[in-house]
Amino acid sequence: MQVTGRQALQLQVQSGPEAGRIYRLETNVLTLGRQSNNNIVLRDAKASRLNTRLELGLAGLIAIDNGSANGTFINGVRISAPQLLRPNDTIQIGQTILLLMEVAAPRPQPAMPAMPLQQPQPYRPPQPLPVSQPRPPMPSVQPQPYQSPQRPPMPMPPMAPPYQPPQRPPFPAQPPQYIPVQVPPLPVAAPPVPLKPKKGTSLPVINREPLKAAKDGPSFPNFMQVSRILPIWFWHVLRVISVSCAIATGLILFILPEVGLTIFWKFFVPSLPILFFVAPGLWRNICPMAALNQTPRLFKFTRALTIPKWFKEYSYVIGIGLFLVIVPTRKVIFNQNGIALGIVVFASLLTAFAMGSLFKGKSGWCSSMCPLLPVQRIYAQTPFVKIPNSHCQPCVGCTKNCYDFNPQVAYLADLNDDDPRYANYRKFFVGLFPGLILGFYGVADPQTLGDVPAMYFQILTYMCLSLGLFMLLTTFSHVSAHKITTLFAAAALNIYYWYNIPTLTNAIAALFGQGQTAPDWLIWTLKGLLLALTLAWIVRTYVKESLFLAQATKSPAGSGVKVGSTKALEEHGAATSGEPEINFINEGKRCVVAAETTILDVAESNDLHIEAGCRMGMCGADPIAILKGMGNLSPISEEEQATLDRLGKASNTRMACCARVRGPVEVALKPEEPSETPSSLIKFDYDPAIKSIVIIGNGVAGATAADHIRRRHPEVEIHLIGQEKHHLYNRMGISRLVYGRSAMQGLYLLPETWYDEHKITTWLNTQVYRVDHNSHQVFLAIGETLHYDKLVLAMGSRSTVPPIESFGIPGTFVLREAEDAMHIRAFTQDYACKRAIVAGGGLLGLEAAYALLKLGLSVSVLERSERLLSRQLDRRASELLTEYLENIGIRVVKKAESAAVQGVSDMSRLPERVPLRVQQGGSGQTTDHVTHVILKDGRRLSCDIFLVAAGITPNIELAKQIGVRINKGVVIDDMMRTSLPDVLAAGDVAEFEGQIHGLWPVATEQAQAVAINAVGGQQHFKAAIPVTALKVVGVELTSVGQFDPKGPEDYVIALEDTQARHYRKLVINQGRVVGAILLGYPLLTSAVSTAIKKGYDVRPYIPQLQAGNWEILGKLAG
Amino acid sequence: MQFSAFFGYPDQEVSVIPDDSELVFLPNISEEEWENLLNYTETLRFHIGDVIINQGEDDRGLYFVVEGRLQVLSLEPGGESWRSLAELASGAIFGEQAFLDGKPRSAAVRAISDGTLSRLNPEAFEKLAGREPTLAYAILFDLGRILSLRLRLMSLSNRGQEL
Repeated sequence: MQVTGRQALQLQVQSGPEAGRIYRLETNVLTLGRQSNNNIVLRDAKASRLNTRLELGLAGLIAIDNGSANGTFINGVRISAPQLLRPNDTIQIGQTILLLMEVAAPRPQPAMPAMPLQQPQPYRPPQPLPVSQPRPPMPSVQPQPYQSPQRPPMPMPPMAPPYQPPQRPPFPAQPPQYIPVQVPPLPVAAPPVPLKPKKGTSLPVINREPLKAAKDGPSFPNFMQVSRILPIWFWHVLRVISVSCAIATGLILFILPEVGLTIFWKFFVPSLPILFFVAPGLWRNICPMAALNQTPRLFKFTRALTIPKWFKEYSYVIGIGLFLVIVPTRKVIFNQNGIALGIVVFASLLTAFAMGSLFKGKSGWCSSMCPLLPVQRIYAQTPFVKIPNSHCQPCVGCTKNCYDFNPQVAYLADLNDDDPRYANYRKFFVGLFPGLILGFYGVADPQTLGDVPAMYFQILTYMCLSLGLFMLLTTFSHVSAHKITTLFAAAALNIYYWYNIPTLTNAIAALFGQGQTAPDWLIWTLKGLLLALTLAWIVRTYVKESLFLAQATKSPAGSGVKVGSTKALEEHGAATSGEPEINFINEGKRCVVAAETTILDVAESNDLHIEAGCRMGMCGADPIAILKGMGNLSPISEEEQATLDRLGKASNTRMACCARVRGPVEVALKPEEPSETPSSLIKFDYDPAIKSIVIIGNGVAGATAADHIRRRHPEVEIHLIGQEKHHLYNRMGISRLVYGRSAMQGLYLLPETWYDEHKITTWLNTQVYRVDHNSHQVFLAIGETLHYDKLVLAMGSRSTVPPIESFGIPGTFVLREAEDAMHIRAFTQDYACKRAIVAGGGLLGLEAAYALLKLGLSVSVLERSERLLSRQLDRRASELLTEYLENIGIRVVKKAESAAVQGVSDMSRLPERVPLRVQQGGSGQTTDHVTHVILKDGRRLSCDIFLVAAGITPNIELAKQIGVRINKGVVIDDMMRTSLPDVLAAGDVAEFEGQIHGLWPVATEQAQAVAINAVGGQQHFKAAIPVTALKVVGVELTSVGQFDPKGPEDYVIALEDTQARHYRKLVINQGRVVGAILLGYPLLTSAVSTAIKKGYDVRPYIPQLQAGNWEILGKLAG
Repeated sequence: MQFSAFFGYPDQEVSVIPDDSELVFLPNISEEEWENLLNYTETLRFHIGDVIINQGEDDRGLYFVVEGRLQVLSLEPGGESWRSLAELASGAIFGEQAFLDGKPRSAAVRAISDGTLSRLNPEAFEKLAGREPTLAYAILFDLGRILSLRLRLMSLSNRGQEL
């Protein structure tokens, strides 16, 4: 089969699951089958995966069966060899039958609307603005937080008021379970913000049954989707008959006007409305005007033009106009004058024919200006008998909301059209229609020529009243316009037949004999039947409307996307079905989690509002209330118990990071207050001679020491002096101040009242000027003097800044205190920073890098050595971590040491970056800011922020002044004593056995020891092997003890999960685990650290450990 | 309102109208990769009436319906009543827009039966991307493809109105 220039091929699915679909043949090879990679995917169970192949060769289109199970049939015959196809051949695959059709090639692209040509105009100088109208002032630039396009929204940190869940309207239909976790501050540069429910807005009641009845196929099938009972040729025969009848009637009107008028007005016209009402499809198929209109298309001599735009808009109005003129004129002319009526009949037939030869499809007459169309639209919207369109083979898509295409929804679509005028033409007609009919029958026929204007006027009055009523109802009633149009249509029909049932029945009766009339009972029965039918029609029409609206309002954005593998989803669901459920009551989230997961991890990974700190139960950042299932959690460790005691919340409190789930629990993220304040006092033989203890430093060591002193000594005066402005806060959480929305509020570890309740005098934002140990006095820089019996040094540490030239210019930071975090965030916004460099690939450096990444910056980490986290990870683990960081977008630069930073002071060079804050300040004194980092090897890297995280330095300046012995830090013995009596030290400032750990858990343990020793007890501190268990950059990481073998006597088990890029390693010395690395195994942390702490002999279990069963480490005894 | 679904005239570019078989997320990755992806998700159970997502809420999860039925609702202009946009059943995904753009949710999702969801949040996705960049690439590309098809649907339905 040759394909010529103007012809194209298409396959129309004739029957089968996708009947009606049409596929264009646009490629030289086309495959058909059930598998999704076919060109035409058949959803037909009987089709093979790759059933059939169509190839366009020189001879034409050839069908080849791919050895399918059920074969390929061409015109009903199964093919065994490639076969040439011809137009109108059918291809059957499984149960699907496709028809090969030759159609006109796709129409050429319509030309672009012409551009109005602009005449070149002579140049004229711009007119000066009239003086009387001064130029409006330029809108001043409002300081707005910078938002870079690729960055997530960066709202200003919320101000101090405590977090309160916002008021949301309840959903009364259901118990109000949902309380929003966090409400985003409105974005400043307002993108369209979705509406939020107002108070009292209730969700619709749940309809447990889907609205759409579970039927096969669409609820509003178009004519190509319904099966055809009568063949097309049958309709052609009917049309020949109907056109003949129409022509005959027309001729009779000329020859025998009386007979013609009777046939026309007494039989034909009164039958039409009920036909429209019951089986409109029949009329649409056999209407003689339509038949003539479609004849040019059938015999392919139509010019198939597209109707002009104005006609598209007003054709319906023309139809209404014709109808409104013809109907009242019946009374004057057409009822009596056969010839006039005959002319109208022939004129209509001819116009329909002419329009059909010009315009494509039914756009010239049937679906546009036919005067009967408005009546059909309203009567025929819910057919009782559905007869599919048999004219349009194929549909050419000529008309908007085509009635013949989809009869049930066409009128609804019209009424709900986005163009109000388009909908209003339809409403206008239905509004006046009952008035027209009532007027027609209610107004007397004009007797003289002089009565004619009055007659028209009276009918017009009826129409106006009807239209007015329609207007009133649509304006003031609370139902849709469509409901009212339905009622008006029903009224019009019944009024019409009120007058016409007698006419029609009498005319029929007259056929049986001269002077015969129909009996009254028959007339009344028919009227009753019609009314009943109308009521049924109204109900059906209303039901249809709700179905239609439900489907029409389904936005494409909501149309369902399915997963590619339901099997995997089902299996995943089945795998998790037996696992415990955590019900976060206030958030309305029921999370199913693997056993032994901590509640903190669950809350975090579900984006619930929770703070995290040390993740070891020591800092107290994450207390929660267990409402149900306390017994389904892992037991409380000593450390956690100590923290719970310090917080003093209700007895159902747990630390989320320690509570591992073993069964179903109900959780509230806010801990409950105790019914009675439990006494935290510990019975202790304290030294009553000690009256006053001064603690310098209110970090974790200082505050914990104060707590433990108070527990054991109810009377001693405690002074807690802090340089920072804040009470004890969760230092491990400060990176969230950089990228998150949290304010300081979430980081405080103790409520403000706690200090008063425990009679601890706090001195915030206060510096110690000098200590005179001889007189046991502390002199504060604000002028106060405090006397002490015992002095606790807990000044902590600060970030080490190696000598880097120019470090300190704006844009260079450390991240140690809450203030640092807030400055970084502010600076990033002020200077619209894009690139950050973090010097230091340790834990703190990575955490800082991650925070900056999440703030939307592009981040590089400079690592001095050859690998990251060299103090925690071995080579392999470090490699894996580096790879991970690179994958999430953090660049790692190894062997990189910073030598200097460079900045600019020339603001004009960076106009777009003029910091608003600086601009407003106006002084311009701090205009330098970092632009580059110079490495020691000469590399020069550009950046807007430079952050140093190179370890910590103890704050020993004051200790020097006091005169205690100092090495790296304040040297202490195992009872936390310094070289001076009555002076003790703990935390990051203290050096024990040559070590400064800088770890939160060590600080709390030392603080406890310092407290006991300060009040006269005896407590020896024993350095444990530090466990580093952190979640840095989204990786769960645990590193304990000696992670690399020191000699041949050390035995190593290292396992790697290459798929998930997890890694774990044990170092065993003489049967005992002495070190471990866990990368991505949070659930093993506790087992491994227990085994190390308790020194279990693991020799008998080496095979299990090598096989990866490390859980047994937690189950060993002695 | 969108009527194009009722008047899908055959001469309109059939090939660009996305059909259901194209609105499938990750149709070509293996079962193992799917399992792998789902291992990064959180499992959530819901009961009839639970509001999974509220309109305007800040939630960036990408959800997979493991089991059960849900209803997508949006507020009518004025914010005083809701209208139902769609129903979701097992195997459906939702939430991909906010997952990508981080904007407040444009519609609410409510459970109309009991069931189970899997939820992938951006942090988990980041982990996934860190460990399995190729899978992450596939996810992002396919989400982009689906959003693009949606855009096509929308512009088609607008064009359908002009006939």
